Amino acid sequence: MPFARDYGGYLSNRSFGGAQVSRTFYARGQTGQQLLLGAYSALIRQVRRGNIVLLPRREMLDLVVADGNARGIVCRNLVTGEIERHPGHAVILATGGYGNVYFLSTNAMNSNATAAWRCYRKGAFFANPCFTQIHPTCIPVSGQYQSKLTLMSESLRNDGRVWVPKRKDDRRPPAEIPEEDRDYYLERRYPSFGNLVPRDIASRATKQICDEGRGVGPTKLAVYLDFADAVRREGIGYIREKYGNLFDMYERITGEDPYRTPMRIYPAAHYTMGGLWVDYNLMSTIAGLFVLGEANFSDHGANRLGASALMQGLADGYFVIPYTIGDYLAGTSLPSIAADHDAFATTAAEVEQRVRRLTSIRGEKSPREIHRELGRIMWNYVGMSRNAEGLRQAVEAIRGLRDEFWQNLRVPGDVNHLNKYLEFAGRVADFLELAELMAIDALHREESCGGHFREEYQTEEGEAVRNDRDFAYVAAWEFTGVGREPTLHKEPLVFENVPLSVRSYK
Amino acid sequence: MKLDGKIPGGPLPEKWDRHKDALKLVSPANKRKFDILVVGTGLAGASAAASLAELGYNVKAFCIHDSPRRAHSIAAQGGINAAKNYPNDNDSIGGCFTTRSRAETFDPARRTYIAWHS
Repeated sequence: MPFARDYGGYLSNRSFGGAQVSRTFYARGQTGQQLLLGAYSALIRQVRRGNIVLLPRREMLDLVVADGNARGIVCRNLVTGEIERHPGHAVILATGGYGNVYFLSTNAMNSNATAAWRCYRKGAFFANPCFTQIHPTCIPVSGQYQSKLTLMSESLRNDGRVWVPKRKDDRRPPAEIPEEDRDYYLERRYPSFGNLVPRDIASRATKQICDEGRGVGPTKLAVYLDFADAVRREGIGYIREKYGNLFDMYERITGEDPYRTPMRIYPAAHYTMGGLWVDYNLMSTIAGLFVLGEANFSDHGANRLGASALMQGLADGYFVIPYTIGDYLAGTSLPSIAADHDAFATTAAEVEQRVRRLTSIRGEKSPREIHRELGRIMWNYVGMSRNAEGLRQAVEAIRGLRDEFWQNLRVPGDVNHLNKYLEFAGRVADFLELAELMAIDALHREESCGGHFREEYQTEEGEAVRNDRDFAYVAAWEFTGVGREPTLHKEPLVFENVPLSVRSYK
Repeated sequence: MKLDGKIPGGPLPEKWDRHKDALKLVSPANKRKFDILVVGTGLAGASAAASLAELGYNVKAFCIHDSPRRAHSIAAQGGINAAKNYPNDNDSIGGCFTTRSRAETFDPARRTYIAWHS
């Protein structure tokens, strides 16, 4: 793994949001890519040795539970449309987060919550669904037909300075705005962390600035991330070496050269801290169903700090599950089970029926259209800042949209071929249920905590007010039926080593 | 139903090791008898599938894309954390984070392995 190194040969570190020390190891702006190539190589080596059967272009559409244990999955072959049954002794879910519930997010187009949601419906608890991360530095939305957003790494805030013009209607190009007319609002409000405040704080501050009408660019929903000082101080070569690929990416997408003119950035949905509840062994409330990485809820609480997600995903996969799965297998009696077992027959029949139902509505709206409407509801009411009234409206609006989906959906093509519309439709159907749970969870948590900001609970200066007395627990929800109130289970948070305190970034 | 996080007792830096020592084992000959389904082949899924296969389990890995190289983990730009105090800036290498979460599962013994192994 080609991590950056310092002059003495040690691995080099940089600093990230919310940390006052440098503890982030990196490989330019492509750390995830390099780590994935490593994990992929290890995976393919085992495929070549015959220890792993790799099944690409499969989408898990349900979990099979027999005698209380997770015993397999039902998936759809995305090329042939065949519904396949796969029995096993344990199931590991590593299917990522649900950020695409917002329609526009930095997630890949195929990222979805279906596998996790199907497990929730089978009895796995869903924990802290309202804890979502809106990342402050993404390339702004440019138009209605955009399909995804692109992240500009938080590491850029090490050398970039965030600012807007002091005056609301200042239309001068950034280079012509002198120092005294600029408001470096993160440095002003949070002098000790400056531009490296955690993501939730930076995103909210940016939203407030743009709500005041001081945003920049054609949509006024953007702020500047300026590297001029760093270029002057360190030279262009230093910046290129550290962030070259990010600057290239920015230029390819926007047509502007960030070495010369400041980047324009705006917050976007990026990561979901909530997910399926797991214990220390990474096992969910369904025995034999393990959940790894972003798909589970553990480790990040209400506020994932930068560079912790790669750490969690890899620690879960390389170092935790190899030990804990053995404990489950050795301690559980698992009679052999075949694909014609009753549990498989029932689940596969349900999946087939559901797939057919999606194509037989023959309404007017495409799944993408309904998804875009859902995204608008979620971004406005269950996004960066929330309030009780808005959340109640959101629940109503989501239920209405879900009814419309099942009455007015149009999925062209049929079920026996590659059918992108059909794939999207299934995922949107699940997002429409998950979205309601997120709003219910956000409504019940009457405090501001990390990524969850309730307007009713803030200081006069607009900082979050937590309620540790009543809400220091994990909210794990149990499915009771679509449109029905889920059951809340609380796992209290116990702090043995660090006293629970409010962190100030000022 | 009472949720049991199964978080082990004892001092934080020792929790994971003590927990590991108490886990039951599957013998190498018996590992071959178990089929493990891994859904998703990003960083978490690929690393799990590879590690379990290396141990001797039969693994089936399911991927929504045409290749695991398409996994969205590839888009992670910034970096990976480990508290090592390399730059001598007083990072706490036995400590933990103070955001409110299940802070006790921020278990440095589990987390700093990453830097050792990379």
